[in-house]
Amino acid sequence: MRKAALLISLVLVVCCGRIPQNATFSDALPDMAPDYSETVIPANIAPLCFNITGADKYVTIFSNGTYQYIAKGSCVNIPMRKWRKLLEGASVSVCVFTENGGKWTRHKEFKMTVSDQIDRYVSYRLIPPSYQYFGQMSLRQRDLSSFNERLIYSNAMGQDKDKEQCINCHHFRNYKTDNMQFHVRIFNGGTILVRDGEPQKINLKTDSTLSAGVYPAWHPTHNLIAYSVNNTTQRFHTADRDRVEVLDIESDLILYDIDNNEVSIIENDSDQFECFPAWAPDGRTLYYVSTGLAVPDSVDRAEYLYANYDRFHYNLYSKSFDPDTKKWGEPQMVLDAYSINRSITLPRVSPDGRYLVFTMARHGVFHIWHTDADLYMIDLRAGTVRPLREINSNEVESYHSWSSNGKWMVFSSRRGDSNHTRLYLTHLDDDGHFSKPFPIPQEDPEREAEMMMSYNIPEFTVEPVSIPAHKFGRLIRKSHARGVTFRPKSKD
Amino acid sequence: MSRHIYKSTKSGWFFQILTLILALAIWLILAFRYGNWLIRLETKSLFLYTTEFLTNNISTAGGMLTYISAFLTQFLHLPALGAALWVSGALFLSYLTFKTFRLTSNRQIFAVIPSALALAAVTGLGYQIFLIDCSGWFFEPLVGSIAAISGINIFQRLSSLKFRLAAIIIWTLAGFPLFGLYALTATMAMILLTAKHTPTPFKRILSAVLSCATVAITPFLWYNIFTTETITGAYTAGLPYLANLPRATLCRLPYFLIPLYIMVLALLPLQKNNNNDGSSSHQSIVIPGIITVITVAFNYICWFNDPLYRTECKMATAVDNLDWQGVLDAENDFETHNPDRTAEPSRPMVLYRNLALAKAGSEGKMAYRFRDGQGEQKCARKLPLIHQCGKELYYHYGLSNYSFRWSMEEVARQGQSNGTLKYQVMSSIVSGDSKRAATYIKQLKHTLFYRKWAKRQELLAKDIKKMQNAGEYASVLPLMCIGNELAMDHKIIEVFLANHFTTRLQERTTPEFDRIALQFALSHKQPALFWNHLVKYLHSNNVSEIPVAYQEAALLYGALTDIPSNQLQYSNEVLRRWNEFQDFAENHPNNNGEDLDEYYRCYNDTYWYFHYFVSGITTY
Repeated sequence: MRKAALLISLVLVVCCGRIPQNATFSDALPDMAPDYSETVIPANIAPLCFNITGADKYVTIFSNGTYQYIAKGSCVNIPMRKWRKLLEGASVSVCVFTENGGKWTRHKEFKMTVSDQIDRYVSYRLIPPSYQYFGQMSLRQRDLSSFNERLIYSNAMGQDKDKEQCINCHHFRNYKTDNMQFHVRIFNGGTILVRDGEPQKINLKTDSTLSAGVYPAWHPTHNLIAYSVNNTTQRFHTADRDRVEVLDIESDLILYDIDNNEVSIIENDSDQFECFPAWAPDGRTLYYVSTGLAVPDSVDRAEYLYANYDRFHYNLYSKSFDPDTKKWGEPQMVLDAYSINRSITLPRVSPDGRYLVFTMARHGVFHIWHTDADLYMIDLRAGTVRPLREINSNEVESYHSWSSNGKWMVFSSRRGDSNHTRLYLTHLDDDGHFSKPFPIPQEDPEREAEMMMSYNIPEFTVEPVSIPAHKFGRLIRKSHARGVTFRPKSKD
Repeated sequence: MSRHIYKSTKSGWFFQILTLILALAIWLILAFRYGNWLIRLETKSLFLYTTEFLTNNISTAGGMLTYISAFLTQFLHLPALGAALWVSGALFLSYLTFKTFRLTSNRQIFAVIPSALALAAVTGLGYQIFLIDCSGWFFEPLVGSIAAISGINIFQRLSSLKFRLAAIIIWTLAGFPLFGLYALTATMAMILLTAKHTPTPFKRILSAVLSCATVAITPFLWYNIFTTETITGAYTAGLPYLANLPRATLCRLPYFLIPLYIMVLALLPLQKNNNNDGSSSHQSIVIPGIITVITVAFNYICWFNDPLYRTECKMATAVDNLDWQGVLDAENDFETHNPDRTAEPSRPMVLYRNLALAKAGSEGKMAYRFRDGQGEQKCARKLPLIHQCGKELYYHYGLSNYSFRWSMEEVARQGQSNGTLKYQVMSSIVSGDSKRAATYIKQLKHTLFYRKWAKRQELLAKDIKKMQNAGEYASVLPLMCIGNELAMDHKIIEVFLANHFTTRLQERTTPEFDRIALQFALSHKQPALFWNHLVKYLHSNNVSEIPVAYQEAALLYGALTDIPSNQLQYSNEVLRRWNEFQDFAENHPNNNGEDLDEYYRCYNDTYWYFHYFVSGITTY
């Protein structure tokens, strides 16, 4: 019955002249951007608009087997309600007709498979890709089911124009926004910690730790946040394609106990550089990366480290943890990247605890500036590691986050223009394979492609940040940040 | 009565002619004396013919003001046209002020003052252009004032109090997002005019309270709804945020005076009034005359008049146009107009000139014919050279990564501009990253004056052979011959460049690189460094005659060290002067006072003078 209805509607449409007739078939896909062909898409995603080029006229037919939508023109923008109807099917097939010199061509049809729901919100930092100056940067939250983007906080709100303020490392507890944090650096610096919906500014730096907290990992069940503390510097390549090298001169790991407002050491070996903590979903294992490089006492530490920058090979470690007693086990090496002259960063465990995805490049700790940085995945159950060839590109792949159902991953990549990072979504199937990645949908893809900003640190949440940006602004403008106490390691 | 009208008409004609003469003078000064400065301003601003550019601009308070001003600023690319547009706008503003406030003809000088203040607001910029977002800044005070006074003009046509109050509220709510503080200025003037013409005190107070509340609340509402700026930023929307350089207070003054003056015009009884028009001929000339003198004097004081700055702008424009002779001509002009030994060139001038000499291949012949120095810039060295000429110098010295880096830093500090886009394109193409270049080429294709340039770059990015022969790349590629180094310039570009070129003796380099390395080696005044680089230079560069500066250095360092320099061929002239110099040194043992003057007079064009007497120069 359905098929008959579709056939009748198709015949009607053809008869009415909306679908070009006498078109010749082409095996090639149309010249379109972004390329959504053969992707797996979330059942609740916003319309996947794209632009087609290379012809005089265009007709695009979307169909899910029961419902059809026809778009005309090079800018293919599907109305929300019609798109929602299309997503009700198991897949959406797309057929593009192009006309050149009066002759129509029917291009190879492609399919978008509709799959699991995705967390509705993704938060990120939007920044001009500079190195020392910050310009206007903002934390924003995108509703993936629509094109709505909301400001969480902009550094223009907490400072006058002649003052520098960096905002970074936004992080949420268990995909919810009532417990979240981000850092403000330099002018009126501190960590903005939202606890049960109430923001406060704290200063995580103590006399016994290297710096204030940097890369965070919020414990899934307890009021604890693991941080790395880093003394980070940068230098610039005169001729290399990777323009900058960002190194930690020192780094350790600390644990912030929110309830007791205490900071304690997790790892602080002076010859080791620990970084990027990430909890397993049960909160009983902390993954992190670390490298060892003994610096002779007689030399300048920074000079020595930069002279050996290509010897920084971070391995992946884990450390057991009892959240009730706050007792740590010994570090265990999970993956030895040093032995293969590679360096691991950004371990992130899937919500079911089975997979761990990380970024790996030849050396170093700041892979966002390493062109060869790619994503890899460990199957923690099978104990196997593999490069994620299905989603990697020739350009940088770096920061990545799992969705709360573990079915989706968002990651940043410079594959677009090699300079600005954009966010890509990919679906994980039951066999542990990711689908072809696609950029987060935009109402105007061309405008998005020309935007001179980078997307950083994408993090999924299931709800929007409800705190008004001005509330953060008022808090940040106050110079005071509540201090924390340092709890030394107990001798047992 | 008719006698008075005649007198005022006569004085009116006098001031109209005076205004036109002043306008012509300003156009001539801007277009010709400050033409390179206007070009510099234009390279530091941007106007794109895209909807995104429009929406980005109008999403901030006062955004339409910036958008219109940025549109007009692009015409500074042709300084005569840009200046003509500005002067025409200023004349229109004067006419609008005259009509709006219904000034008598003998008081029309009061109508010129907003334009004069707008001129003072922009000509005082100086080195601020390297610190603030310049897109539209040059036209903003003018466009803002025109918008404000146009609003008042329309408002003046309303007679009913109800309509006037409604107009104030609508104007403020709609005008503030478009024109920022200038719209609020108009509102304040409207309030004053309403209060002035409202008969009953109660209504007067009520209307004033309502209107003032609208002025106070509108930026606050904007701040809370659109959440993009600080509250101070919301209340000063449309005004530039000036850095605390010297003269910053003077620079800010016109911006405060413009709104203040518009309110004064609304308040004071300057309008047409037949009873008051009976001023004596004495008053009709003298008072406006005094005001004219004060206005001209104020503008003269505000105008950032610095020959070093003007020369730097001229040189920067020539560098952007690859006009190396133009750079040297600018230096020559400066030397001609400042023969006094105390008037030194500034560091940017020295850097631009040395670059031009190197690019023209005459560094060995002419380097010491120009003076070195550290002429005091009127920004008290608060502005590192890297912000003024970093991306340009790095690019032309073959450090494309560093040029790109400082372009990106400039974008973060000041926003995207034509200048940064150009260097982002060139540094990407020369590094072989055509994908990256395409992003910036696309942007430049949305501009009016760089579209053609961008299309050319698009072709060059696809055709390596053509690119290698193109002027903007041909002289840069040979300098990119050396291996990678991980380094940090600490924002001190001059030291970084000198080290970059003089620490690569062991590497395989090109003749072009060796020439520049020797040029930098000479500046170090270290004999060993000189000899090593001279040997490398002679080895790679097939020179028939060693350039004069190197002969002079060889004679000097041969005498100062044990290294025999007599294997080199010296010209008779150099040898003659060297012998003379030695005799001169014996007879003039002091390096100060009259002896120093004598050394300068006789040997300031030699490396010997540089070696002995040019010292204590600090870079920043």
